[in-house]
Amino acid sequence: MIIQALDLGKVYQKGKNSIEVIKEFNHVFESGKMYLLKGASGKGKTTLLSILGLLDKPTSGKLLLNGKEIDFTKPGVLCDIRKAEYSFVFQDYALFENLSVYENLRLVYEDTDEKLDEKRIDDLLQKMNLSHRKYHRTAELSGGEKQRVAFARALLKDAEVFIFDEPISNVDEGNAQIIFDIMKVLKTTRMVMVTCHTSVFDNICDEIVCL
Amino acid sequence: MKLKLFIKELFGGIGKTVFFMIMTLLSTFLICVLLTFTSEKSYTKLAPNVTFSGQVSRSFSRMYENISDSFASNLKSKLSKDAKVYQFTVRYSLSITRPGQLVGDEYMRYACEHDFLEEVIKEFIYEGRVPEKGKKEIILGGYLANIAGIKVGDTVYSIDLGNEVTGGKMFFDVTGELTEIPYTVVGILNSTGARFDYSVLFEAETQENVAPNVVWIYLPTKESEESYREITSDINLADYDVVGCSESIGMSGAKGLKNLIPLFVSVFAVVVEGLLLAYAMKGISRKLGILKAMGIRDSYIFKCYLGGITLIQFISSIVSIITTKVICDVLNSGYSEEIGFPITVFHVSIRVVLFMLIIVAVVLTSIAGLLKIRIYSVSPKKAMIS
Repeated sequence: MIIQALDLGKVYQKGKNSIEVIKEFNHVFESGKMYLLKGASGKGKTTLLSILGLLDKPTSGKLLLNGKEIDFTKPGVLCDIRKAEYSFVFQDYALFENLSVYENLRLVYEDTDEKLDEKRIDDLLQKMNLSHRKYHRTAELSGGEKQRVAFARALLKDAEVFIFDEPISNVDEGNAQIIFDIMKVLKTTRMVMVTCHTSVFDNICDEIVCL
Repeated sequence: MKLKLFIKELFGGIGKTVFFMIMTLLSTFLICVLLTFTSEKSYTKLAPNVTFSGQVSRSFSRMYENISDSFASNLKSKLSKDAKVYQFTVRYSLSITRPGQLVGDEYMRYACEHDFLEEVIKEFIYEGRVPEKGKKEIILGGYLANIAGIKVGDTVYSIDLGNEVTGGKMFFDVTGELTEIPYTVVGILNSTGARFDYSVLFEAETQENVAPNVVWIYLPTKESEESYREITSDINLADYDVVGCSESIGMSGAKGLKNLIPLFVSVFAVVVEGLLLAYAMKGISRKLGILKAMGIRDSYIFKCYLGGITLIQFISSIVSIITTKVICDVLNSGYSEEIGFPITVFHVSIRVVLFMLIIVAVVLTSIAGLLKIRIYSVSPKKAMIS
């Protein structure tokens, strides 16, 4: 998988004022690498990640996926690409708090032809040390456990691109290590994009993209 | 999974879902009660064993009592063509006799023109038919038939005054021997003919020779009613020796209001449901964004909502209809106990059930539109913002 950003720009309109968050951004992202998006607060890390993750559309420029230009005017097509190629871990875990850990993972199989793989779910839960929490509501979990559920949900999908937005902002050292280990394995075959306001990923990423 | 997702998350949690269900149930129940008790109750109260469904006829009538011979023909010439003028003989009796037994109840006996039976009375018949011309057959009011325990096919005996009747129009001097003449009951009226609840209707030809003393003006349309009102001022009742004028089923003016009720309840239901939905979906944008970011399509989310709301709507409608029916049964039982025989005053008709279904369809269609706008307008980018 190759993602090419060509002169990407994003301008937010707030009343009469225009705020240019991203200006003529150019970069090539490839599978088998981990990219760390760095920059001071307000520099557009999350916005860029949104555009690269097809969650938001740029106001200028192009985004090419394996050489093919993405048409941001077709939400249905974007949704299908996200479903097939992308996996996300969002800030604050973005879990459904009233559903159980298992139900949160099952959501990955919703609205898809893919057959529910119970064994894969169990294996991932075991790997994440969450087997004993399988049927607990995620609202009852600790911050570290929630983070691991969010990772389990992302890893359940056989995606090409993994996007992590501030993935260790709320986890302790032990859990952070689990996440590092996962990322190290992931980046060997997949494309991994991470935003982080600290330097904890500096040593394991392949490329730092400064904004 | 869809339902779980709907109840636990998309609808703001179990608490909000339960609140939505209760409020939907209450509004649906209110609608069902409103529909049942505004369209079904009229003129059923005193009609025994009669279930009246549908709206009461809007036509109404005037009855002039103690008239002179020329009164009816004068009215006929002045009223519009669709107004119908009939004359008949009315007298009060103190009892009705059935085979081997005297039942002591007051009743009215109407000796009518056959046209009156065919054109007016026929539509009020609950069971049986109109008497055949020239045959000794009668129709009974519903209440009278019930208290006397008379059914279609029974024979009753009428005391005939004979031909030697003299005197005024309300009180007669009768000479000669009174005779009992058998009549076959061929019809029983429903409650809409409330004026005739205590009455026996004969065909005039089969009765004693007593001059007509009542003119009945039947005004079946709004036009005929207007025409009647226009000429009322021209009629000087004193000229015709008329002693009384009474109005029967006067429902004019209620039609417009009644027609507005279904519209009103539909709008009410859509507004209530829309407000409840807006409340339930408050603060839901991020959850929608997360689902969309995960690659779940708008149509799937839409189906989750619509499926859940449809389920709630149908459960609420069924519970409302059952509850209303129970209330109707309790009220009917109370009335029956009070009157002394089983009657149906209120009931949930097929019309109400159908209308409830239409309302559910209207609500769901409107809600579907609102849902689509709401769901499709949320950007998946919302997932990135905590």
